[in-house]
Order: sequence, then C-alpha cells, then structure tokens
Amino acid sequence: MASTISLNPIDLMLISSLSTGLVLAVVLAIFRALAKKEMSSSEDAFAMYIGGEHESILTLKYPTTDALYWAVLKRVFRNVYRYLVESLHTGSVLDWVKYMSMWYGFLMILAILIVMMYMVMGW
Amino acid sequence: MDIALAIGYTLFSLLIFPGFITISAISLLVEWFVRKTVARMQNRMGPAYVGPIGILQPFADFFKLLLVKRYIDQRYSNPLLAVVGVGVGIGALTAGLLLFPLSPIRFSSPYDVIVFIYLMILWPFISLIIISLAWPNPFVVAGVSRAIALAIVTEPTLVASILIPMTILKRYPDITPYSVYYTSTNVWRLWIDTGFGIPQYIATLILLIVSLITSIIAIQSKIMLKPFDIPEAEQELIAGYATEFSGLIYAFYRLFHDMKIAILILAITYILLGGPAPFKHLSIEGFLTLLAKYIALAFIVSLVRGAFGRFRIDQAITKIIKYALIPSIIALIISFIM
Repeated sequence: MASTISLNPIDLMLISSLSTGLVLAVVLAIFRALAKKEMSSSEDAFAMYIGGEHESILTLKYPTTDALYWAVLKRVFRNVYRYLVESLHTGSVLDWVKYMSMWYGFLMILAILIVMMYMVMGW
Repeated sequence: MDIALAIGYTLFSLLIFPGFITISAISLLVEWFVRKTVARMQNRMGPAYVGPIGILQPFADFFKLLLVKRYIDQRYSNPLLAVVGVGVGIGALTAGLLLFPLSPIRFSSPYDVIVFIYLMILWPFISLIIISLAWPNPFVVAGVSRAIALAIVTEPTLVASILIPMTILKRYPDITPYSVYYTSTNVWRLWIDTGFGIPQYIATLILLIVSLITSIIAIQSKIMLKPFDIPEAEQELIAGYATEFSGLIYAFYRLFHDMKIAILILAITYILLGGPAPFKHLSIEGFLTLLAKYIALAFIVSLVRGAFGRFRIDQAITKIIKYALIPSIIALIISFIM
C-alpha cells in the first residue's frame, strides 16, 4: 500500500538526514564485519603508488591543487579575462567611461524591465 | 497513517525496495548494460562468462572485491574515513529515493527540490572528495582538482535542467511547487497539454527538450563517463582519485559510482519524462513504460560514452559551458518568464 506523506521542509530535511545516517551505519557495519587488511612486513606495501617512483620524488616541485585548479579555470576563462582587460585597461579614460556606461545602461534597462514586469504582473 | 507503520514502511523503502538492496542490484545491472552496450559498439564482447550473456559479471566483481580481496593500507591512508565518505554518498543517494513515486512511502514538501539537490547532487560530490583524500597520492590530488573544476560547471547545469519542468509546472495552481514527487507525477501533462495555446505548447516542448539534453550532458559529466572522464584518465593519472583503492573499499567505491549512474538516470526518467506516465506504477503497461524510458536513457548515456574520445579538462569545461550550462540557464530564465 503506497502512501505519500506531506511534511514541512525542516521535517523532511531531518528525516532524509536520519535516513542517510542509517544507510551509512549499514555500510559501516558491513565494513566492520568483512574488512580484511593486507598485512605485510615489507615497507613497499605501505608506500603510496607513484608510478613506481620512490616517495622522495615528491620533494621535487609539483603543482599544488590550487595551482591546478586556477590554471584550468584561467585557461577556460582566458577569453573573458582578455576581453575585460583589453576593454578596461587601454590607458584611455574615455574607453573606461564607455565600458562602464555600457554596463550601467544594461543594468538600468534590466531594472526598468523588472519594475515594469512587477507593475504589470504583480509579482 | 499509524506512526509505527510509517516507520516500518520507511525502513522497508530505505533498506529493501527501492532502497539499499534493490538499488544496489539495479546499479550493478546498469553497469552491465553500459559495459555490454559500449563493448558491442567497439566490436568487443563485453562481460560474457558469468550468468547468461555475462549479466552477473558486475555482481561477481563486487562480491569478489567485498569478500575475497584484502585492502592494502598505505602510510597516509585512513580506511575508516574512506568508508564513512562512501557510506554518506550511498546513504544520501538511497535516502533521495524516498522523494520519488517509485518508493512505497514517499515524502514531499513544497520546495523539496532543495533536499533533492542536497542529497543527490551535493553530498555525492563531497563524499567523492572525502573518499579520495582519505588515501592521498599525487594522482589522487590531480584527479580531485580536475573533478572539482568540472563540478563547478556540471552541478549548476544539472540543477538548472531539473528546475525547468518544475518552474513550468507552476502554471498549474493545484500542484505543490518545486516538489520532486508532484513534478514526477504531473510532468507528463506538460508533454501533451495544449490547453494554454499552441505557441505556449511548442515553447514548453522546446524547453523540455533542452532540459533533457542538458541534463544528459550534465549526468555524463557528473558520473565521469567519456568524454568527461579526465579526472580518472587511465593513461596519464593511473586511475585519478581511485588510484589507491583496493579490496572492500574499492567494492564500495564501484557500487557508489554505479549507484550515481543508476539513480541520476532514474531521477531524469521521473522528473523530465514522468516515470511510468501515462500509466500507473502497479500495472504491466506502467512498468514496461518505465523500463523502456529508463533503458532508452541508459542507452543514450552508453552511446555518448562509446561515441566520443576523452576531452582535455579545459575542452570539457568549455564544451559543458557552451552546450549545457548556457542553454540550461537561458531555458530556466525563459521558463520563469513564461
């Protein structure tokens, strides 16, 4: 017999968090019951796998997570960045004024449209 | 409903159907389907030996990893943290099923889409980061940083695509707004209802199709199947964030990954395609319709995986922005205005 229970959002949040916790407990219980750890006397078994290299290779410079992350984002948004830099930093004040007034104009039109929609549709 | 009965139903829904046990089985079947379909596209056999046409191969892999293989500890690893991470991910995905009409007991509230986003989009991603960083390694760090970069464009795309049908459904005043359950049971009306005029109907159809396409791209990226599998690229990153997993932890990680595929496809089947609509769940036609929609979506996901090569991370992000994020946000804005 299927049934739908209507709740308020806070109760729903609590029930779904409790449900998540319950399944987490089941997974943990399975882990506790079945986990078998590899026991080894060799130090190699406990070293991390770095493509066969020794761990000392990590003392060499390698990019941090931040650097990787920003490198990717920068490469993706390079065009936007270049556009912004080239249109703002030309050295001419007039270019800057043109750019800023263009955006303020756009925002102004957007604001007027929203006000008109609010007046017409009563949102 | 009696409180004891409600708790009993909730536990049944959470742990048996459609919860932990059933969705685990469905996830492994979906893994078999994707592997077999992609293999046939590439002129390979795919899984073939365990069970009829290899259908039990993922089960055999899972139970072998779970029961036979041992996990190898590492100097910096924290197995308990990894299991907590994977458990939270599996738990959040399973708990999210209680919002769908598939469950014998379903919970709904106005704006419960926020709970859906929290359980099915946010937690699986955070748990992926927890699992990965519980076994630190340079390949893992590079894989996770790529996964985070991809998530920045993938997650808003998925959210926007899911919000589109919910926003359009606001035109029916009798439907609880932004509710996963009521959207799933009423979205079929959007596909056929011409009562608001033909131009409105055509615009709705276009928005729904855009939402469907962008959500499939977002799912492909979220579950990191080709062409968006750069965070676990085998040739350059060994296995990315999964490099160090072994034994039981790898079994759970694979189950978690398969569950993401199975449940996100299920979510799109319900939220955008209406599940068994226009039939009821407990009818043969309804079951077959649900199955057909589900298999069709799983086939499209496999087709994309089989047809594309791997994108570089910047290519992947640009492609998602261009073909999924921007269209889905424009469609969402239009659906607000309509």
